[in-house]
Amino acid sequence: MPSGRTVTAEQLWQEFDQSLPAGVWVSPLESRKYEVISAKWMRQEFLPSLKQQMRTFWKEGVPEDDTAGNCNGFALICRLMLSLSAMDAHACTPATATVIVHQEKAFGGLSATKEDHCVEFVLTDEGPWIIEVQSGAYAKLGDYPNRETIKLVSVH
Amino acid sequence: MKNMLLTLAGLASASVALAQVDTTRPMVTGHGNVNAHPQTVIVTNQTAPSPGDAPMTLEKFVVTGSLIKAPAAPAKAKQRPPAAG
Repeated sequence: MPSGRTVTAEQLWQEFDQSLPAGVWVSPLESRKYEVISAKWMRQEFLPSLKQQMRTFWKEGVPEDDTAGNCNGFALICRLMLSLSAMDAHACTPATATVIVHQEKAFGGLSATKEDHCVEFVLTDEGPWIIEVQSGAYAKLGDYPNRETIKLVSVH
Repeated sequence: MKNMLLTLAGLASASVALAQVDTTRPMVTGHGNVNAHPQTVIVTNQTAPSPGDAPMTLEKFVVTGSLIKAPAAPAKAKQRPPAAG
């Protein structure tokens, strides 16, 4: 992970406060600074690795219903992979979070299930993104079709 | 100059708002810190009822004061000492 640009906890909160609809619960931010993630690195390095990791789970036949192999588990793995990359680069805590959203509209290969779903938030140097972890699809937060039904953001 | 003053005032108020948020505590977008609103309920869309949900009634949980109105308890019988062992 290329490192260098960071935001303070207050700036990250401002990002959430300005880019998300009102009423979204945001977890406490326990770090003083967060690493802004390179969008170029995400496209060229991280997302292909994430897709490969997800394919491995499918090949292993990880069960999906009522097991750890659900959307929450996969989103946590994405967060963990970003954390490992940041550790390797001696960078700050990556500016990423797991997001619980009501899947009102189809996105990233998942249909409009009308159920709660878990996706990943990443603050890149091109702005905030939402990633459908299981397919590696991403959208700028402003273009994310379920932005209005985001419920919860968990950074730690 | 007026514009500049307005800009400065805007920046000042923005920094005040920024300082008011304790990022180590839970937050709700549009409201700031949850604990900055004591004794109020911040309704987030987490609590929005599903279309099929029946409306909640609180009748069972209304405090009636019946404990206060209850007749005085009879005098306590002499308590037996705890059994040994």
